[in-house]
Amino acid sequence: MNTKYFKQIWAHLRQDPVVSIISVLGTALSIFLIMLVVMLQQVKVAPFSPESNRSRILYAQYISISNKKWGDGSSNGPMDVKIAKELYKSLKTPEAVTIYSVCTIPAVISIPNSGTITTDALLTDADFWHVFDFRFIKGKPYDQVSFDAAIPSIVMAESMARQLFGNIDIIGKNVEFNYTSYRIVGIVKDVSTLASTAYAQVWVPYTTTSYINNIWCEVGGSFSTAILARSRKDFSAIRTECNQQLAISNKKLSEKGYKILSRNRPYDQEKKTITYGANIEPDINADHRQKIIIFIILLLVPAINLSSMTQSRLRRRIAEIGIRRAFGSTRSKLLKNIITESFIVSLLAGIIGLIFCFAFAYLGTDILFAQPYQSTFCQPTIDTSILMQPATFLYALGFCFVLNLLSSLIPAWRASRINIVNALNGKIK
Amino acid sequence: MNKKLFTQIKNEWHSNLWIMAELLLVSVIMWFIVDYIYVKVSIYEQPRGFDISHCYLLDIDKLSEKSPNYNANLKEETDEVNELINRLQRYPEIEAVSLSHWSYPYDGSNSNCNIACDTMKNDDYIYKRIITPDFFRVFQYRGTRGETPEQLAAMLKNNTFIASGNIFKQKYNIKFSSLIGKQFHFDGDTTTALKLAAAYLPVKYTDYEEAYSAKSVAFLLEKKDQNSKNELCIRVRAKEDKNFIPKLWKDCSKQLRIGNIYISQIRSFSDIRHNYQQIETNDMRNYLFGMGFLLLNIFFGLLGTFWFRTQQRRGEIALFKALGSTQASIFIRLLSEGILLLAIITVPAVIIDWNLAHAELNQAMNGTTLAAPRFIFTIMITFLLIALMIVAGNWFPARKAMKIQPAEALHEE
Amino acid sequence: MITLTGINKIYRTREIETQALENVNLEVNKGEFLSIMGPSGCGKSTLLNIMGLLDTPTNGTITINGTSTEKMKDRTLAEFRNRMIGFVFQSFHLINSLNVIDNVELPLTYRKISAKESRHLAEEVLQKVGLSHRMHHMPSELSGGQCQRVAIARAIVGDPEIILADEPTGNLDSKMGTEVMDILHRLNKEEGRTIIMVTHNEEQAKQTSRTIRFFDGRQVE
Repeated sequence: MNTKYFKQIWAHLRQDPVVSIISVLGTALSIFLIMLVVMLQQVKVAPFSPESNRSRILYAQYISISNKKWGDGSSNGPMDVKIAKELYKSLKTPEAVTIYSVCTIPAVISIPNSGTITTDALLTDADFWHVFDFRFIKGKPYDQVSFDAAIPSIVMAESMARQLFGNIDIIGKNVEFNYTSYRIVGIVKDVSTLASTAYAQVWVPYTTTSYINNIWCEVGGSFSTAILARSRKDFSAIRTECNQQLAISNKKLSEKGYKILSRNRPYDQEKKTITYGANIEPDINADHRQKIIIFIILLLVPAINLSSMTQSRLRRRIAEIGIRRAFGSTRSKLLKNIITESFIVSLLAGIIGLIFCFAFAYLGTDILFAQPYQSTFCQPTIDTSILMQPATFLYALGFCFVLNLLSSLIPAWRASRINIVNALNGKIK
Repeated sequence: MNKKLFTQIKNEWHSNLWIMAELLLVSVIMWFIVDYIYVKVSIYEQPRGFDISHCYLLDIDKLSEKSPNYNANLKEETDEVNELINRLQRYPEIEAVSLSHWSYPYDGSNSNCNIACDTMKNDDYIYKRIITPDFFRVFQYRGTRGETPEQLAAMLKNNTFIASGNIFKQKYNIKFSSLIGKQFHFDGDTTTALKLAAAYLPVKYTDYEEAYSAKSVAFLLEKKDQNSKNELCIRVRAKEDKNFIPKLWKDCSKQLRIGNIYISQIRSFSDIRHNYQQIETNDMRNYLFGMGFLLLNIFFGLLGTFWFRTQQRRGEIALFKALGSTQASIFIRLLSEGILLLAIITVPAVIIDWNLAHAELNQAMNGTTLAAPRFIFTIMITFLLIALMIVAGNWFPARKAMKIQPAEALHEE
Repeated sequence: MITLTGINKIYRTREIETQALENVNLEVNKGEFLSIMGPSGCGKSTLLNIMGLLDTPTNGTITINGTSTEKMKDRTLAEFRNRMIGFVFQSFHLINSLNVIDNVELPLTYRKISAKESRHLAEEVLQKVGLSHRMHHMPSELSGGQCQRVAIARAIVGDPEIILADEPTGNLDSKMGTEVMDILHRLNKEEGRTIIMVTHNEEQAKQTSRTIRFFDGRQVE
């Protein structure tokens, strides 16, 4: 039965090569573009090292402060370490909480007898290595003890290590980091800039720097927080705890006239990716609505095209439809047959589209994945683990199915309703 | 011929309905995209008010207190920063050096202030720029009365301020330069006042935000307030900019290290601009892809439909030929059919587009979403692009039709 | 076996109304070989289509084996067409994208039997019409007579009681036509199937058990 199906499909396609090619190309093109859109979204929320825990992390990147004297005005930006500890490190529900610099900082790195280079540095605490899963090639991260003691230790990305030393057997050696000697404790696999939180080329404990001294408006600073929950189900519990802590902290601050505005922080991964200003709470619903409209357009326009082409192709087979009905096929069976046949063709076209999509993603990484508001000039890198998520294939399948349904349902339904005699005579009514 | 074409279209209205539905949908979406691109390009083309060529941002950083090289006696960095500026100014390759706070172009951070003069005050957001006078020379600001950057630099003192010429324009409809010489108060503070010394041509916040809405005032960053948190910007002489920066970078680890201060990064403003505007670039990319996608769909859709139609009408076309029609006229007839369908749906499409613009669902420019010249232009471009695709899609089937041999086709019939 | 009572068929377009059949009453008995004759456009094909449940009359009733088809739903009609009736068309109407044996098997794909069994039945039936050696050929590779024989095989593979043939030899030369008629007669005499045939050919009609004539939608004899 199955080979017969495929033989027939092939024969039908060959009957009208131009229309068949256009249908297949049209479907492939649509799936290509839809999957491109899906991929762009996925790299922002899908898990990959070192941000494999994205689905379990809540982010408090910024803090918003108002003051009795400012009226409606507010000051928004990264927070100070002290308030981060008060509001977030104190939480009991999460698995781990980490404080790190809001963005990478340009740092000067050098070894004796060589020039200095600017590198992207991230200042973190020891819990950072718990929340984010880096792949250590050599050595290990700095631990809580050395963090508390402010021992100058540095973790380096593999390519940075090779650029400086030519090899990676450098654990225990020293580098000049911002004209201060640091000991190399670990080397990690390079991190793509698409890992927007964890990306850097070197990581150092913030206790070894003076960054924690940059305080503004009592609680503002240069740091952000990430909270790793044991599971997503804990999110509401964590948020409740955060609000409780916020109330306590605000009570203390009110003595100086300040108040921290919650703006419903912390945010999950999805909400974080659409955060463009520290002073606005992102509107997830508006974002979803926009995405739905885009998908509808991407599906509807080709569906209309393919529908008219499916209609044309079915007309050629009108006599066959008549015969099938004359020999006992019910309308619903006919409908099912046509839609299934059409689905197989869409699926094959969809696979072509998906392959082109992957190819484009690899070749056009700069065009596609350059992130907005980056502080680094490093180009994004993409690898299979980021692109080929199981969800990607499920999405592709789903879209093929929907596209097929939209484009073949009406023509198939109309074909099944044709009067048998008219069909046999090649008349379409 | 055209009347018969109309009749034929009417008779085949059922299958033409599909095409027209698609053309209508695509036409509206295309117009939206064309309008978006028009606005973005128009705004982009507006004069920026500044020039970043050969300009660089030097990130100043301070040694950590925990560093063994840290000199605790040098608490205030003002002297070191001043010395750094002096040393930089001594380079013959460097044309100008400035310090500023939240002022350089393509900077994500900003602060605002409110200004008042007599009874006039602002309702809208005015960017607050705190700069050293040479900032004007680094970024080549020009005065509304023709002042050069050097002249503007000379006029910025601790009892004056300089502002963009578009403040108060919408509210009071006056040229801001007409208020030169008057005293202004800031942020409701009536005790201190500064005199307006000059007005500069409006400076866009980014390439994609209108000059119309970018208002700013510039105050003097006094020597005593200068520290390592300021932004250090330099303009390199155009002729020297070939290999100067690597050379400057080498000096950063030696003679440009002063006390606890050092330079951690040198970035060109074109890179900064590229990064900052990535989101606009991404948006533009998305819309262009979308446009290409829609056009391709039209192309495919029409190719398929008209290919099939040509086959269906073989007998009829053969008949036309037998009755004396030339190849060329058949070709043109088939092409016109597609264009005529487009023309028919253009009327409802324009109505929908007008309503979208009226409902302010598209981009605003010069304070409005619906302006006659812009609307007409974008409608025309949309029509032309889709018409082009229709002709392209119809071309192959029309050529095939024109080559039909009458006897053969009629025999098959 | 088949009873038609007061059958009318009117075709309506925007401007014209054509009465294809007018008040037709007919009874066909089991095992009969009935031929329907008449000039072009007299409604004989329409009558056959109605008897084969491919078309519905404007009014009137059809009863097959005592069951009225008036209120039948699509599913029941389809089953009737599949099990009770086998149709043979003038222009064969084979599916060009399937080979001979797949064409013959077609009616069986709408029944719940195994692939093995349906293949066995198809092979059996092809042997009956003398085309076993052409099982895997495509219709485009066969002559007209062979195509019609495949069509007959398809019509009988499901073991229907009634065969309806609409000018089965109309597109064939005399030699092939005779072959086809032989098969039909065999099916009628040896297997007792009821055959109703529309024909132009006086000679063929004479060889059947009963002939009725039509003119302008009405039975005249």
